[in-house]
Amino acid sequence: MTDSLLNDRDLKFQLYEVLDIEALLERPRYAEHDRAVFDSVLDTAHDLAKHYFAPHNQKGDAEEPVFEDGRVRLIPETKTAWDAFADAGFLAAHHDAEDGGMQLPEVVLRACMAYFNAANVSTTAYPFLTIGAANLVKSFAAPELRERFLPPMMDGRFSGTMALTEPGQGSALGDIRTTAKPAEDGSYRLFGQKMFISGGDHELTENIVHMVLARIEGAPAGAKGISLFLVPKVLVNSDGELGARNDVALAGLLHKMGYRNTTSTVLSFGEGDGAVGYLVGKPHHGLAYMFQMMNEARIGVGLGAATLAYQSYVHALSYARERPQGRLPSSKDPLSKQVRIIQHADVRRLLLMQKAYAEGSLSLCLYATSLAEDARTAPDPEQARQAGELLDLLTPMVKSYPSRYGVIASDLAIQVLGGAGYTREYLLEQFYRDNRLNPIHEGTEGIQAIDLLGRKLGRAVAKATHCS
Amino acid sequence: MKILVAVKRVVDYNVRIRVKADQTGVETANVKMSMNPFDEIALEEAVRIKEAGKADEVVVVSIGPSQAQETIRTGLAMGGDRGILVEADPDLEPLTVAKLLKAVVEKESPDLLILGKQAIDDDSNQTGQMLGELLGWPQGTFASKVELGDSEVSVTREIDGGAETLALNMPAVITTDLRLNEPRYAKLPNIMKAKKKPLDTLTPGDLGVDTAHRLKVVKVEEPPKRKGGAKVGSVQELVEKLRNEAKVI
Ligand SMILES: Cc1cc2nc3c(=O)[nH]c(=O)nc-3n(C[C@H](O)[C@H](O)[C@H](O)COP(=O)(O)OP(=O)(O)OC[C@H]3O[C@@H](n4cnc5c(N)ncnc54)[C@H](O)[C@@H]3O)c2cc1C
Repeated sequence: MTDSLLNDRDLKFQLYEVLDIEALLERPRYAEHDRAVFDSVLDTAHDLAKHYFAPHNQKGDAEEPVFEDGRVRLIPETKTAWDAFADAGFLAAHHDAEDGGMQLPEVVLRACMAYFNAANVSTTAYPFLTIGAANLVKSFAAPELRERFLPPMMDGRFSGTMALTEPGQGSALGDIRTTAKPAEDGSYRLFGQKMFISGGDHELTENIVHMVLARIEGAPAGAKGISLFLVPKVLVNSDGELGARNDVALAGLLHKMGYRNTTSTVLSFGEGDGAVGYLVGKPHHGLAYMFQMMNEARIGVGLGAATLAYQSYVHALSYARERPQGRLPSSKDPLSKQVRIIQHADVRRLLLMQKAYAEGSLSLCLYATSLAEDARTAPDPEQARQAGELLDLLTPMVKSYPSRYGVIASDLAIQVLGGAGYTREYLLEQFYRDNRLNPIHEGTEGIQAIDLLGRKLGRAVAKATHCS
Repeated sequence: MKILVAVKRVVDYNVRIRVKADQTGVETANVKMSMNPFDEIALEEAVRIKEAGKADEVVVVSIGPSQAQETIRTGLAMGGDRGILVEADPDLEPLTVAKLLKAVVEKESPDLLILGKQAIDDDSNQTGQMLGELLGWPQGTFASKVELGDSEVSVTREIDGGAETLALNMPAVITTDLRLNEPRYAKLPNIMKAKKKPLDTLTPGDLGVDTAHRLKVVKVEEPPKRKGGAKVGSVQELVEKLRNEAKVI
């Protein structure tokens, strides 16, 4: 069985030959980089993923997080992996140099994340969410808040979450009920319950920064009355020192089909005097801000699904090349050597379907990331605008296609292994279970369809008609 | 105190090695290359000595094609201070490599020279020993522990049946074994910083070394596939098989 992650050559083909990311080097933001730097960064990601993430992928699945005495216990390898990721600088890599980052292009960062996802998707969720939460802080938090929370989220002392879903509201975010009461010092006190919050509690980091959607008392109904708050697990004094424990409690853990080493939490805000929260950006604009994170997360979910599909394929391919079984229809000699199963037409069909789903999905997601890159850094404003619009239109598909067809690829990979694929001795059944999440979170497939047909296409059509 | 570390660009240890169709060597086209793992250990040791305040400079030297610059950059990202590439054929013989390194040593005058015990491509395990001999320096090969004194370095080396510890006068040559340390990963900010560190390029001509091959490769082929083992019922049967089937006794 293979121990390789993805395929370096294929990934580099996507990056350098399909997307021509070397062209980014002409943009002033990336003047300090070169291809050798990109390659070294990708190699480092591959090595770290292989040494710190892959080895405990099955263990994290078999020994899922435990809730004991109000605390969460994770297998210790998770912490080692988190530390290695942070220590290598991946949490800070894409940030501005002036904030202490290395201005790594987003598309290179995402390609790095592909290695981590392929190695261990549920441990990778912790840094994945932290990067997203830090981006929100960076983009929308007031300077004082940003200075207090961004640096520790970039160096790995704090992790982050996105807390939208509630026991009563999942798809219908406009109906959330968590409330925020203004306090005298300008902050807020939050009351309510959040559910399914990934990474909502653990002891990987000394603090957890929750990016919470809530409704300020008296806010208008629906999506236009939702604000975004930064709610730390432990309060942080203005000098950056940790203070008292905030009024955020872990009410319980959810027990999942896959993605098990990621804690899925139910969190109670304000069982006492209220959880201290800081408004991020303007009141009632929270959903729009959160959409930045969600759009990024949606590409990330697509990419996660694509890499799990790819990794399933890599395993199935390696197995098919080694497993001798049966003979070709043309062979009449019962004593002749058995062929490797890759020689059977049906096994090839299974493999080629997987390859098409996996490579197509990977390509789509990296393309989406390059559009996000162009929207932000293309020197020509018109090019930037067009990239942004195209990305907006494509995002529901970038999230949904790999999620749906990635699971199918993982399913076909099980088929290639036959009985072995159904056992826990091989990783395939876990890839399948892990990948089954992707059509559900970050907006279900149905919600993506509504977004595409109800909103995005309508807008695009109106625009096209208007232009012609 | 200056340490010189020699690093070689080799086929990555994860790559399944394939023999070229014409049997002249190993396939390296489109194959991932990286730093020889034993050399990573050598570099790690040098960087640790520097971090402990016992060395001022770590110089990373590679002999190979121009792409070996990337290997040196990796070394600089791991903590080397500057690099020297001797641009030459990738398949030089150990004696030639030792002569080239000797010439670099004469230019650089390091106090300590650390190399991997062997490169995983040809597994020669000769360069360090030849170099020590050419320089007339003491050598501690297969090091699993290195402790630096004032003018001496103590090297614990793995030998058949255990370990022995040698005290070497400096300057000295050390070659590293697997257990010496666990090399670090290059951190991303250091990958950027490495770009700015100096890297000089020399040629064998600059160093006055003739790189002509003295050995001739007749043919490269894969080792024969291992045949399945068999259980024997008795010592007698074993002896009988060794004599008549394997014909080794
Ligand atoms: C493992 C895991 C991790 C998660 N991580 C997080 C997290 O970190 N933070 C967070 O905030 N949330 C998280 N979630 C929550 C996730 O985003 C929600 O589960 C998801 O948005 C769906 O909401 P729901 O479960 O309430 O389902 P529902 O909204 O009840 O949907 C049930 C079904 O009804 C369909 N449906 C709902 N509304 C409509 C409609 N208007 N039209 C047509 N069909 C509709 C849906 O498509 C779905 O098929 C996570 C969930 C899981 C399982």
